[in-house]
Amino acid sequence: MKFKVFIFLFFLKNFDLNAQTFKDSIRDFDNFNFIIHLSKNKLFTEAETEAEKLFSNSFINPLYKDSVHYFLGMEYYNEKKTNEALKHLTEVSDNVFFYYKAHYLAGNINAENNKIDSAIAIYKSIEESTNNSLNELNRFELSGLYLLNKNYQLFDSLSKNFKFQTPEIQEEIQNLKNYSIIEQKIKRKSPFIAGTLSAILPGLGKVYTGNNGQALSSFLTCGLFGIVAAENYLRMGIKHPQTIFFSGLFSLFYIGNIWGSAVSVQLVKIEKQHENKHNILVSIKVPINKFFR
Amino acid sequence: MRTSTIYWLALKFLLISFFGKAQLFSIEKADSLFENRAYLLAATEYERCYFFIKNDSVRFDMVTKRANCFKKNGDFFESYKNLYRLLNNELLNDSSKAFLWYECALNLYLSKYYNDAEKYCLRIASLPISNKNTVNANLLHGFILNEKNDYFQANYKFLDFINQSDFALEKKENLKKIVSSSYKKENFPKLKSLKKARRLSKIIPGAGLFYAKRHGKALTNISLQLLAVGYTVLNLYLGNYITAATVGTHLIRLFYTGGVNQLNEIIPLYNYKNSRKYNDKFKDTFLNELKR
Repeated sequence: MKFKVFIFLFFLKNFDLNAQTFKDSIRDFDNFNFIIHLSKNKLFTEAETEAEKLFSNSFINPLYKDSVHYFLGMEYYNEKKTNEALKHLTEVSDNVFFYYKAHYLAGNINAENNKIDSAIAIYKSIEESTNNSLNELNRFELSGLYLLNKNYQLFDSLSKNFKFQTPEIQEEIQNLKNYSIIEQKIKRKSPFIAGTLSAILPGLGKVYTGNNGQALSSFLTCGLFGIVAAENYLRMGIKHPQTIFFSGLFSLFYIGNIWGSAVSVQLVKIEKQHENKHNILVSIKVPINKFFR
Repeated sequence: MRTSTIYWLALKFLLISFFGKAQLFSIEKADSLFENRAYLLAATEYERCYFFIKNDSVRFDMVTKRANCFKKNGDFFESYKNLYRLLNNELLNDSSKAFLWYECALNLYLSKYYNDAEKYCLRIASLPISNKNTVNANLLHGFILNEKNDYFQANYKFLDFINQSDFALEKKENLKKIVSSSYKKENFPKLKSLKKARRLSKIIPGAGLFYAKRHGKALTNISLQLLAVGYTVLNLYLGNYITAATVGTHLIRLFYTGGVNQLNEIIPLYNYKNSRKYNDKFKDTFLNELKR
């Protein structure tokens, strides 16, 4: 029995647990648990206030700080409050094992918010891991971001010259290569041709840009106003106010349609780029979710 | 260092369970914050107590007190959200349920979610008990029905409340007088039926707007419709059949459906203005008599 007591006291001595520090330690632990409880119940304002109070203690174990940042960041992320999530996830230091997940998600949030350079900076700052799969994931994410940045040279150097071994990444890298081909194939059609076609036959320019529904609508609207203007001209002559009004209306729609066709060329290109960008973002997000399930 | 986290946390757990917990929460502190009207700080303290205390009945009290903090702070929906956390507790007895549902209904009523508030009042009515909350639920239900312009049912609810309450006979009589004088059919606010107004406008253009007492709008709408018809007829007379068939008919349809559809906004606004006056006046009179 005496021996056990001695062992216990030795154990306490070794951990330098005098009464005061131990009390503080328990208080920090309880406060930490309370913050997690608040964040899980989506009581974010209160969780933030409590977290500030906890962090104000200069002797606090940094692991608490990291854990609070991680859990709060994850709860914000699940609630789609990305700015707040980003703020907390980037604060997680590499002293904790969820450092990788926090930083990969932070990078992903930046990519989704169109801050590609910040995302690249985050992934580049992630330390090399002893786990080869994590290093592969980093390389994969960077290649996806270079593709989003339209830096095809760097994308190729990372994606084509490196053989990925992880099955989750192998599938997605193939998708990225396909999206890279699509991205480079998206070419701007000629606004001049679109406008000219619409001038020959209203709606034809929209067919050229690929908007068949809009083409039919333009054709019918212009056609209808054209017929009404023609009828008024034939019945009442060119100087009649009704003829002037409907001719003006028809001209407005006719010219507007030519202008619209020319502009829609650029819009269609942007739309296709958006679609491809969305696909790339999904592709770079999937392996992160699979890795850190 | 990274893998040390698990060991460190595990060690913490072991040591803390061995030595017991430090008292981090204080109901007295939360109560004193509440009394000093620091409602949001008190709410956090009550939440802390809720988290650290393991006794179910105390935890129940903590959440209701927290909800009360938000109610006092004017955030009625947040108050309801806190009470909602307790609703799934299967161990609640009937009087706790009555209290909880009443508070939920009250907060929803104050947040202007009348339909949801009424559901809680109906739940209370289904309980096989009678206490202060079940009695007060009748009063609240009456006010909710007033807001929903269901004055016949509201009348019964107020009478139920008076009959079930334990007021002195004189007070009961006074309250009954207020109810009977306010709930005479001729005293009800004159509300208009949207269905009737729409039907009138469909049969005679502009009639629905006259019914809603918007004479200016009605005359404008009729004039515009007549102009559209006149324009169409003129074009037919001149032989512009395509113009008449397309532009003319389009204009007629536009003003006709416009006249009908604007009633969707005009009638509810008219009803709200009229009922608001009546409901507020009744609520003030009734509550003043109750407070006396």
